[in-house]
Amino acid sequence: MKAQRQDTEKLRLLFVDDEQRVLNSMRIMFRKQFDLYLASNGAEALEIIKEHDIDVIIADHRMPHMTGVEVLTAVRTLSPRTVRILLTGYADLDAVEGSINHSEVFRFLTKPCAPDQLRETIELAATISRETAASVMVMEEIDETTPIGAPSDDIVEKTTPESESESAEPTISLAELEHQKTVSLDQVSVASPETVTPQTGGGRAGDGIAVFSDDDDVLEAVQKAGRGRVPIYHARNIIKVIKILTEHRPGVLVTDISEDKGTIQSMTAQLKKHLPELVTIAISEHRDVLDMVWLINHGQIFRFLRKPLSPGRCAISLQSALQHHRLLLKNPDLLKRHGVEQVEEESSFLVSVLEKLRSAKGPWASS
Amino acid sequence: MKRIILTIGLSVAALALLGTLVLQSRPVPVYVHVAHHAAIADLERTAEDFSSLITALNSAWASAQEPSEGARTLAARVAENPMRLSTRLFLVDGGTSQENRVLNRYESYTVIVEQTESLIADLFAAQAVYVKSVAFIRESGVQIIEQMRSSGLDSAATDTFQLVVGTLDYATADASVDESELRGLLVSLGRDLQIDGNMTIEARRLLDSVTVILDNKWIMQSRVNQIAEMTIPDNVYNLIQAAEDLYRSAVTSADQGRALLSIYALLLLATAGFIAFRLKQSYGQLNRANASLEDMNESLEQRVIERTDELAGTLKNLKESQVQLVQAEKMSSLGQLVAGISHEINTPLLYLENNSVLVQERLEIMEHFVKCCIGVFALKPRDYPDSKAFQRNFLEALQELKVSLREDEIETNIEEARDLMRDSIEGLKDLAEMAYNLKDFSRLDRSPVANFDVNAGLERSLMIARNVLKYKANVRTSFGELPEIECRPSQINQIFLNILTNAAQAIEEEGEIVIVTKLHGPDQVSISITDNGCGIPEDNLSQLRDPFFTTKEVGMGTGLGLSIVDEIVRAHGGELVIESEVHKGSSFTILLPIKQPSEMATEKRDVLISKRTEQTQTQELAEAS
Repeated sequence: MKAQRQDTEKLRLLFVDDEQRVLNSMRIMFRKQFDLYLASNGAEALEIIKEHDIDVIIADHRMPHMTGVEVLTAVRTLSPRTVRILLTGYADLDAVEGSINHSEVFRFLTKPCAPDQLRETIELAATISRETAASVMVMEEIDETTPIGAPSDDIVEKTTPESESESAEPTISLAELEHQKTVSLDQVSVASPETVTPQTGGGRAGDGIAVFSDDDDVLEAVQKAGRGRVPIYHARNIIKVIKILTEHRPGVLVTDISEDKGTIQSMTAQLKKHLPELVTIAISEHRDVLDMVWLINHGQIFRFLRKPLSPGRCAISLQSALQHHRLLLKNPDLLKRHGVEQVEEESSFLVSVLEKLRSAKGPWASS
Repeated sequence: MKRIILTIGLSVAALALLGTLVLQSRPVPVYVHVAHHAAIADLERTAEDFSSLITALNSAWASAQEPSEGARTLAARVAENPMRLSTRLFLVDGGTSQENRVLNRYESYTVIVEQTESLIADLFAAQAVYVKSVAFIRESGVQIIEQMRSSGLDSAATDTFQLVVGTLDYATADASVDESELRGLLVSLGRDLQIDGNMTIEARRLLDSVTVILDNKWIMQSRVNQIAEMTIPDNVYNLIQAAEDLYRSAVTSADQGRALLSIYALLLLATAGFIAFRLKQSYGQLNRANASLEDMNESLEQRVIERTDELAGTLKNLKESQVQLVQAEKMSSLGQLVAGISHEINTPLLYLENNSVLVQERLEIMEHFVKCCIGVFALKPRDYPDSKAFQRNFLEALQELKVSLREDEIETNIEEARDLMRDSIEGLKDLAEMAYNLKDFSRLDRSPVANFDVNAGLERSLMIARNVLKYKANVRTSFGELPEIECRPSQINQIFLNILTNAAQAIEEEGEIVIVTKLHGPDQVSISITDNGCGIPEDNLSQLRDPFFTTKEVGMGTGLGLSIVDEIVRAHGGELVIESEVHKGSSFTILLPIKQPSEMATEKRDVLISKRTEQTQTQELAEAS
């Protein structure tokens, strides 16, 4: 574990880019405010991460040997409290999807990026990083103290040997990181018996899953993944969703963004603002870089899944989401780490509904 | 052939039969009718004449008269009859046997008539002598008797008288005197006279005349009888019979011929009708066949047109899809580059903007500092009451400047600004180079066919592909000295890029790409691009140049890349050699001629290439024009 620092110290920023001139520019731009670390490739960056307690990492995606997503995914494990930002000149679909599902980035910035926006984003990230450091420590402790192994379901069973063998290695592949997390999550789920029986008095707040989709296959996949342990609420329209979110307070929202993209995007952003504890999983038939980037930056979606949903993948993502939701409830500080960019246009309908929701959010806070 | 001969034979036979029948059915001419009937009438009249003649002769022979004029005429007419008949009787055609029969009968008739004629002539001759004798006796008898008497020959005169009277009586028709009596008298008288020698010339003449009368009367009698016995009527009858038969047969045969002809005509007509019917039928069939043939022709044409349309449509679709595929291939190979290129452009843009803002900030700081400096310089001793005050203020201002210099990090800022500007200028150069490379790579603004520096082209392709390559492979180049080659630079660039991207894709983690160019023989250059990637299995090696052959997942590649490369190389008269070993790597060697053979080859190549790379060509053509 890295040495604890004083709050008075400058925040530490790590830039990873294979273009020296970018690093030069960033150094000059941020040297006064921050303690700057520069790396021209992924390996260097990971070395720095291991040695220094970095608050924010900004990585380019396209780099030799190791892509930005890979670097950030590794950072997520090596240093969970480091806020991860991807800054890239070209976003291919795999990069964006990886940045959501594997790297869990705070922001996805595209080059060229306006200097003001860059500065604001980095400053915000740095602040959040510093403010939530303590909470993340807790999170890290939970993660680390949770025993690995003793799988409780098939999916985990299959992946466990790999996780064990891989966990000894310094660099851990994305899929295995996901699995590792799942195992610990599953442990948590099994440990609390109430969650296993969804029928008991609406269950514990935040344990439900709301599914907002017209597609029955989605519902079916989620039901399969839930295996009856988690209450699942299904909505086909936005009013129903809001109603479910108000009445049942599910922890996870699975939302289909294939249709009526604009409304759902806007809804996702609003939900993050008003119900920050709600963990959102977006589902779509198509991958659209711009939509996905928007959903990262404005909706902080937790996962992006492609249709048709594979039950295994869906189950893992749902479990991760549920656990993440619980973490957020436990450490409201962490919510800051999912702060989103403000959306200018706000549908008055949505706003009023969501305002109502916010006022009724007491039970979550108290739990 | 046989049928034709048969048909001609039948036609000739039918015509011959028709001719025969026409000949046969020719009507008996009018003059023949006339002649026949005239002949018959003549014959009948001759028969009548003959019987009249007999009567006349019978009545005449004893009358001691000259044959009457009527008898002579009758005789002449009878005698002339065969002659007349000859011109009339043989005009009728009526079968050989009939004609022969007529001829035979005519001949026997003629014979009879001639016999009769000669008999009549005899008769008439005898009669003439007889009549003369009678006349002599009648005129001279008395005289002679008187002479005898006068000469005293009374007995002789008496005998003579008796003889004359008896003879004259004998010479009448109803003679009551017996011939033998007269002959006895004659003989006795003659003897008497002879013996007496009293025989005078006159007496002799008388006695001779009596003898003639006696003889001729008998001759005449027999002749008349002979004539009467002549079978002229029978012969006439027979001849008439024969002629009638002949005539009838002729008429009948004409009638029969007509009937036959009619029947034959009917038959012919029927045949003609039948043929016409058949002809009409076959014409109908022919027409129908023609019509259906036309219909078929039309529908065939229609179908041909439809098929042609279909085929044209298919061809068009194929061409379109080929163009689309080639385009898709371009897009897909370009797409791989776009990521790199856009990153390559966006990165400088990022720091260019950043740097500009940073330099601006530094300029503001320096502006402030410069203003301060100007403020210091603006301090004038006269503005102060005394020099001390001025000095103090001046020093203070300098002190402020010093503080500012330190606190505002003026020197650092200047240094930074210089660094930033240097980076920015480099970045701009990079961008300009990128733009130039992109432009030069596509060569949209250059002649489609040109002399081309292969090494420079490779450099450019490497630059374009840098982003794809640099994360994957270490590129080593060994460029030999090469002359410029004649080619289509945009296409050659395309194949370089394609092979380089392939090489990068073959390398999984990190690898090496070696590019070697050198002269190959006197008139070719060789470009080999070798990677140490995954290699190509031997099974796939043969299919590698086939269009649509791909080992990539569906949707990940069009499978056209190498087929286009191969086509471009071959269109340039070059050769693409592929060597590969699984897990060791692949080597693509392109051999290109330095000079293109001729204008024709260029044209041919253009055509070939135009099939594949229509898009490019259209653009090039547009420029060329």
